[in-house]
Amino acid sequence: MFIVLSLAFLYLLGLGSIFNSFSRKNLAENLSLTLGLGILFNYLLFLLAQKISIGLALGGFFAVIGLVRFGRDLRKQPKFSFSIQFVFILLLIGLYYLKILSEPLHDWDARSIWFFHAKIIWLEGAINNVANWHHLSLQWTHVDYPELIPSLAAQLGYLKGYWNEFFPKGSLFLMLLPPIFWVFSFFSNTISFLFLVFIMFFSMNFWLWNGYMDGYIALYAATSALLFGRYYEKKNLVDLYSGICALGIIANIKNEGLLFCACMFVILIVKRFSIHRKIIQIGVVSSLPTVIWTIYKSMWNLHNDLKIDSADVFKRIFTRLTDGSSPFIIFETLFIDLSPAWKAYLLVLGVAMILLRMKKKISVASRLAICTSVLYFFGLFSIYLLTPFNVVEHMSSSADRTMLPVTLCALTGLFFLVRQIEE
Amino acid sequence: MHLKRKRNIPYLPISILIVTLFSFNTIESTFRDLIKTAAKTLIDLGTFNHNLNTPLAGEETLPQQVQEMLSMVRSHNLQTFYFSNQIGADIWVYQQIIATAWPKRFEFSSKDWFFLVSETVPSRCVVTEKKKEVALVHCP
Repeated sequence: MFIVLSLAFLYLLGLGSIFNSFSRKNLAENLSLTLGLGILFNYLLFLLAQKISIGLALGGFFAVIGLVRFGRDLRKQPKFSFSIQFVFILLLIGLYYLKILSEPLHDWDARSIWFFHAKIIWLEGAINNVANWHHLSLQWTHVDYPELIPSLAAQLGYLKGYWNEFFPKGSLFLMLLPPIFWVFSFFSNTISFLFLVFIMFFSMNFWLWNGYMDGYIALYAATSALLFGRYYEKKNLVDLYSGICALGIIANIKNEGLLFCACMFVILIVKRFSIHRKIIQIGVVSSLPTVIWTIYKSMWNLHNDLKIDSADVFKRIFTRLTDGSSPFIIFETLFIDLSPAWKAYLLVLGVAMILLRMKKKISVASRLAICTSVLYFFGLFSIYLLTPFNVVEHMSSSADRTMLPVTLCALTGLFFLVRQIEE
Repeated sequence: MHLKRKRNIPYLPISILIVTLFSFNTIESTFRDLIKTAAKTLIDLGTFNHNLNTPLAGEETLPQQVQEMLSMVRSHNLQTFYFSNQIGADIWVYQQIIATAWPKRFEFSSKDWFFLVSETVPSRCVVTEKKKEVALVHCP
């Protein structure tokens, strides 16, 4: 498995190198951007080819070209000096490698949705057998969900030649690599960095290894808030590219990812950012998989169970808004009962007040992360308002995990505040 | 005389970190869980590698009823199957037998049905195999 994952790492690195010239200046961020673009390009090729074998063959061809380019870029760079941050990166990667792969898939959505989809794709060798997705017995498995991680797991299955309940989780491990490198691009010998590592990789309990996608949505969401935050502070374009790439990945992990992207775009439009050729290039690679999957869904008639596209969606929202209890129940359940988001907001508020007393302005990065968190919270609030199911039951089975990005983005804002205090 | 260089201790960031650690107890539990699993796995690397490299490994976490149905679907090489309402009443069992047995299909038209051993089998059907909790029944 270690060999398969190492090959997959090189493959993704090669694919990403097609779009990103490698530079040792800020090595961690460059590596993560290249890997992130590799993940998106691999998914794009798979969606276009619709077959695992053709997708991998095409990907292999591009990966070889990319790796040659990567090698050429590497030779031009000054000699690599080993830094302590890579020891920590390896340690974190090692811990998660052992944790993710030592447990079989045993949780509900992991088995009934994500890795079941992966198995269907692996058995068929393709994603386009519409008869499978429409089989009467599969109507509970949310066939309209994005297939980024399932397709990665199916590709691993193709390379291994069999299926079991352990190794497909290797796809989760591969997905974890870009955020690890991105977060370590903030490395410094400070308490704030320690704080960042704790909140990003140790605050989500089992959500990063149990096969649910919510932990990954939260991790990538907070990472994108970090990257865009640093972009607005330092105007370093690599941060902007990385942020866009992270958003592209979020949009293809789970439907909530689209909601997060919409929230982040609202903030980015308000804040404004420069547009040039490379941004467009990365933007296209990041958004094409979502566009193609949306076209396939429409062609194959795959619908979401929330019935967002039905005519009575506004009626449902209006009825709940005016029934006198639903908005309060939703707010209380989301914000207090089932998630620790209120603690994060309370901490943000406290530290912001300390900063203001110190006569310091709250940084743009912190404001961006907190605003995104608030906006996403109201997005979720609206989703629960329009749900066609019993809202209490719907929330009791999902609110704790759908709120993860809200909490983590607020904590990201807190990280920027702590860093400001240190400065 | 040597003057000691005064080092600024970042009291405020340290305090915020400590408050956060106490507010989010998941940080401690996640950290402990990761370390514990790493130590356990490193001691028994053989099992770790065996699990990753064995086809169908990990199905033992499924409920007993699912494991029994799965074993009968495979041993009798059924292409389609169906189960009684009593079995289907447990949503976890219902979904897991469909997901794990795939590509063997769950279809109402199937002649091979699963019943709980405690259930009465329709008179036109013949019991093909009986396990601890579930029986496979052929209904022509």
